[in-house]
Amino acid sequence: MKTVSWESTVTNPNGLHCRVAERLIKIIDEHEASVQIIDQGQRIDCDSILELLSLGLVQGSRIQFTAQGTDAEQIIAAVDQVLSTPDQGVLQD
Amino acid sequence: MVQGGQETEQDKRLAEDREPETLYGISGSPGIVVGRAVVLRPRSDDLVRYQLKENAIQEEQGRFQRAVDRAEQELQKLRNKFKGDLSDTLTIMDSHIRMLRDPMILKQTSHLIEQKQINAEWALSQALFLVKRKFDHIGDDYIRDRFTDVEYVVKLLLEQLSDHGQQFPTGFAEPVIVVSEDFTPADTVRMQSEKVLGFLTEKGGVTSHTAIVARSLGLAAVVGVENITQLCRTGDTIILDGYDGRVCLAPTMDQQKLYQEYNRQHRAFSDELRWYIHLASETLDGLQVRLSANIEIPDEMEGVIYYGADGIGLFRSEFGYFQQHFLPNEEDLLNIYRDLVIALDPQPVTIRTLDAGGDKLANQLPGNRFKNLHERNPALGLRSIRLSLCEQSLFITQLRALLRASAFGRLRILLPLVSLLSELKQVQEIIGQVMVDLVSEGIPFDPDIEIGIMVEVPSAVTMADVLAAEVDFFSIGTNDLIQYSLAIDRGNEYVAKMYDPLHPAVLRMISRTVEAGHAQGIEVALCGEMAGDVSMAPVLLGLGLDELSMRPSAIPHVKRLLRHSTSRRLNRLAKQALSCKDGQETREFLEKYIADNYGTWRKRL
Repeated sequence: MKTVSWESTVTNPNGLHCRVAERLIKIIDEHEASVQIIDQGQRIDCDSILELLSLGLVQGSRIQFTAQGTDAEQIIAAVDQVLSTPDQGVLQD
Repeated sequence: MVQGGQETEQDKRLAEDREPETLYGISGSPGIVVGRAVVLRPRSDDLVRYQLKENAIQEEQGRFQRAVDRAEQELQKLRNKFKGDLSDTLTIMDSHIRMLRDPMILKQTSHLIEQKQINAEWALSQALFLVKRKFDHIGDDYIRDRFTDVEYVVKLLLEQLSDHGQQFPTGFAEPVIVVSEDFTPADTVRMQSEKVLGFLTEKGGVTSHTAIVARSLGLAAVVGVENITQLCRTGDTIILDGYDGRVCLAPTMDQQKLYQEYNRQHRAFSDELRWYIHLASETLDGLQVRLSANIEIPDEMEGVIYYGADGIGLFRSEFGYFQQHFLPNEEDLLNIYRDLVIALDPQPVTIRTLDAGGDKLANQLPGNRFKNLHERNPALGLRSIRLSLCEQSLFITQLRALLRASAFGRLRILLPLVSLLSELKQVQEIIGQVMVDLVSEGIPFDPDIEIGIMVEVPSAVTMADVLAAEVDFFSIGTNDLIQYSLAIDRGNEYVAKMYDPLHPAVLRMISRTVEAGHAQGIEVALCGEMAGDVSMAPVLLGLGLDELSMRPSAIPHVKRLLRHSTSRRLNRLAKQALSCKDGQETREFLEKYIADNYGTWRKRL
């Protein structure tokens, strides 16, 4: 099985909040791969929205990802896009 | 309409003789309604814990799983009701649905049920506690505050677990007043399809959906009534007064009739008052008095503009501090202040610095080191400007935000509870330093920003001539001034009757403060509750106040009165009032004056 690792930066001004986490999980769901974040030596599955929020990732935070599965490579661009898309609405979540 | 299971509880409560009681909050949406209350979402401390037999564990886990399924269906149903251009709302609702099934909720709860052999409700609340512990470590306020979303989801689950099924009961036999800590957008969607007379909430509501939705639906609403979900039970008959932000619990029949009559008068009267909203606030002979608004939350701005206020005379800035578990940062505060200033420019926006302490507020103020201070005499303790001077970093953050917002319009800083010249000097020094910092950082602000003090301590009245030389304006805070000068605690039922704004001592202190201020050429405002009371406003106007600040809905009433007066007549009235011997005499005198000069007026209840 293919495994890739990469690093991304959160560029969304409000950091990784509910809506961003939701979009992140959704986009990962659409791919054939499982994604994990390595945070201080711990592996965190990207299927838990609460774990993702708990990381408290603000704008500028760097994240270590690893992905396993047939879509592992395609997922890099998809994840990066979610992390860099600014919030559109005025609604605060 | 009382639901099964609650009836015994209800009967017990009804059997207790409840005294009528009036509670005050913030007017969210006008209208008066009498009806039965439905209290949503009991607090989590109503949770029960019970131990399970080993063979019941699997069934309990199944019960929890079914609750998750139902909660998900519920959320999906709501999601389907949102249509069109609401992708953000939809994404938020999706994230709520996802939280339901998050391992930290679903797996954890199931695990705790088994491991500790406890009921699902208790296991769930433990799981929530574990999530909270994790969230508490998040450094970023914005993300950390998403914990409220988790709480919301857990509440939904608890509702599903409770015997009554969903907490928002459907199919009322009669329309009801819905009472809750706060309402979410989802609640309001549900309510539109229900028979609802009005809304009543505990929180002022940062997002105050309640007030906005209520106004758009034309329903009465009162927000920010402390503890109301505890004080009021489903099935109680209550009166909701959305005009004055009041609630009457256990009202007598007479009270109900009075309020209904009051409502009728209000409707008739408001048609006439509408004419005054866009007219200048001045007497027949051209004396202008600024009629401004007291507000507590930024969402009240709609009312400020609607009722034609000449600015904000008192923004109680505590709002920004107590709506959350964390202290607001400079940017959060700046955003709030700037929006107000820009919305009203060029009219003044007067923002009172943090007036915490003295009551429950200090305990709720997150992270201050005096949080656990036990005050034997809180009204005379570490509160208000005294607390700000002890917690200087807190104070400086607020001052920086205020000064920065001053670059966008006319912002006035109001310092509460100043009782000593040295206190004022100390504040001036801090403000001076903040200004120096801002200049060196190249951040714009208005160097001529007006700084004033609340005159609400008798010593400040006595020394008003000295203090007036140091500030740009005075604002007399009669609520505290009356309490301090008459030595009356309004919260104490045995002495509350003696709390009298028309006590000649109070009027004389106001008069003295106005004279001292004018002698130094500064404006004197009054921002206590009495400013918005039409039975008292004439005497205040006659005492020469330059500004009266009141709840927004009172402004057209006072303006009508002002526009039908001449300054000479008002001055004469005030002079005579000052010579009255007690509050009763003053009151009778004023009532007669109003009846003679302005025709019949509705009596305040």
